Amino acid sequence: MKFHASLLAVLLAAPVCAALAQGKVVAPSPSSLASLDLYDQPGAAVAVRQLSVAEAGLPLTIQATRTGYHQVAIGGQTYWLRGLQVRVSRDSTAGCGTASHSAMNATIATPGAGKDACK
Amino acid sequence: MPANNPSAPRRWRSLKAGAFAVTLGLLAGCETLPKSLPALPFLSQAAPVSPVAALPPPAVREWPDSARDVLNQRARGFGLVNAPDLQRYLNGLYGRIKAQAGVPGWPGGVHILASDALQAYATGAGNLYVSLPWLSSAQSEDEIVALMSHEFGHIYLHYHELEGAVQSADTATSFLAIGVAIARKTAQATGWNDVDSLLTAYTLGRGLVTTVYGRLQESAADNFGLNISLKLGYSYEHGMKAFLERQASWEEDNEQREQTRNAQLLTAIRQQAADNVAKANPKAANNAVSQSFAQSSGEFSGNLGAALQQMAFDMKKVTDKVRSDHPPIVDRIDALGVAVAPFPDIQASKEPVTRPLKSALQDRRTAAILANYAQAFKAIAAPKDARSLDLARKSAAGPTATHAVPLFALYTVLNEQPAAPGRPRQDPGLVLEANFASEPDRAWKTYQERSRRLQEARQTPAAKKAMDQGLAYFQNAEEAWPDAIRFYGETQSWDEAKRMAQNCGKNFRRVSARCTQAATSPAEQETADRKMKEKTDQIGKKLFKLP
Repeated sequence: MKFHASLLAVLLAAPVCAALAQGKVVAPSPSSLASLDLYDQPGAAVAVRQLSVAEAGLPLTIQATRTGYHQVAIGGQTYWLRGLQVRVSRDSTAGCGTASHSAMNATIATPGAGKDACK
Repeated sequence: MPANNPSAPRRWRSLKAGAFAVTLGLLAGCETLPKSLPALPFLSQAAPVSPVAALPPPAVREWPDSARDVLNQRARGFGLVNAPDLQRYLNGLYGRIKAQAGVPGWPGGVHILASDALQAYATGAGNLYVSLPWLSSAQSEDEIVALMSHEFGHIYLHYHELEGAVQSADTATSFLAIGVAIARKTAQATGWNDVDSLLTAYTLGRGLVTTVYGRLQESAADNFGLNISLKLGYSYEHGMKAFLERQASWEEDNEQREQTRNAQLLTAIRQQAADNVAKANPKAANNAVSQSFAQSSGEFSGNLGAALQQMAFDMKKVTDKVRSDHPPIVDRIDALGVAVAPFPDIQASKEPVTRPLKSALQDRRTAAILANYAQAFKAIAAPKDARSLDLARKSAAGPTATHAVPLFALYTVLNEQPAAPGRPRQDPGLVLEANFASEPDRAWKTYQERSRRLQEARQTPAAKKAMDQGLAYFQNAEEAWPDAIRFYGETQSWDEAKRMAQNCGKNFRRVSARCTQAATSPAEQETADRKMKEKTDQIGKKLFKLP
């Protein structure tokens, strides 16, 4: 039982750690941003290059993440993008299985953090 | 309008006048439309809460009963997850959020929704409700605190009065029922006309009024959430931004899922139309010309059906976007980006706080609960899958042996999969009764499902017993009443259902209309539908001289 619980704990913890390096850069942030600053390392004071969003080839797979920066490959070169300058796709374990079995009537609550995507 | 019809202009004018009159009449009937928009909280205060400013003082309020609110949420959907260790961690965070906002003594706690969707909401009683996938998907405490601060923002900013106003406005839709029916009738006879346009505009407009509330609420709560989470030392990037990005990804995934489903539906419509034509012309098989004609007419009607379906899908997408209670997520992320832009400190890169969340999720009992729910959700999503029985059995064991979702998963799979050869088939509904036996785990859904299935099997006394037990426990939960009234109407008498509906209306104003509707017998419903049709026909004929 102890082993079982520990294994479960490890399995559950794994996504938390692994997810930090997951996802894709899907858009600039704010979305009106016309160009992205490319850095040669995380935390660098100055960008080595500026690239127009149109030329960036979004979405870009995130190869690694370090404090506030995401590593991506652009044109065969590896660069770092500031996390604040981009919008990132983020996984979730969510689904719509329970929604199909149980319609939720309106309640005296806030509309929720986001719209009901299972409708 | 045919050009060679001399009476057409006059008829067109009378149609327009009629449409205008009908619309005015309908609008005049909508007494419950909000009367004083600027009086509603925050509609008159356009300026958002700055990420570093002091919070405005909260409005004085009377708190609804918190325990009753929790009971009511347990009567919605699959209810709540009883996970005390995880709740303790979340309540610790909530305590810090309240203290930071200067209201440490406010009532309410955090509860976990037994739903596999990304859901989070707050109620006027001070409670926050967060679904399991938010907790298992969030990458850091920053994100959880941001989500909870956003929801607490709704409570602090006292938007629940506003929510009540929106709910009252919703009743205005009942006044529109006859108007929409007229519009449909005239549209069938004369094509799209002014009545349709005006009514659609009004219906959409009503949606926009509520949209304005919803969007302002969400933006203000975002700003509030940012303010509190930053003051608590959490990061913008890993907190509010990550929370909104995850919500955006979830919505995009679901939109994709809906598009795929629509494409499958279009294919099915085309196929069905082709099959219908083939069935209607069985002799065509021997005749090349007939076969070709049948095929092309099938394709035509299939394509027409598919085109209509596509049009309906596109229209729904557009209206959903316009009427959404939430501004597009990207706009929300952009707005927060603008809010933090003047503050270099907020923009400085920092590490997320991951250890406490990780530790809370790794707690032995919590980890087992989360793993069991993940298995149950999988089984519910694919009850016919060969592996689902094993998943469901494992999920309804250990700390979740009496929880509603795992038991419902097992019940669903047992219903869908035949018993192994040589073994007698037991009543799958029996497994739900384990939930009745455990007070903290009870969910209204299990009582409702059990009594419904027993009634379908004509085991009325057993069905009543299950419903009686359920209602005895959930009698103070307004959400339980419409289902219960319908059940007693069907099994006892519609007079009894009406008596219950009267009590429901007195005790629970918000579900009064649903209770009355639930007490309507099938015969009464049929009469009401017929009268509505007659009335629609009469008005349509009078106004537009329809055949």
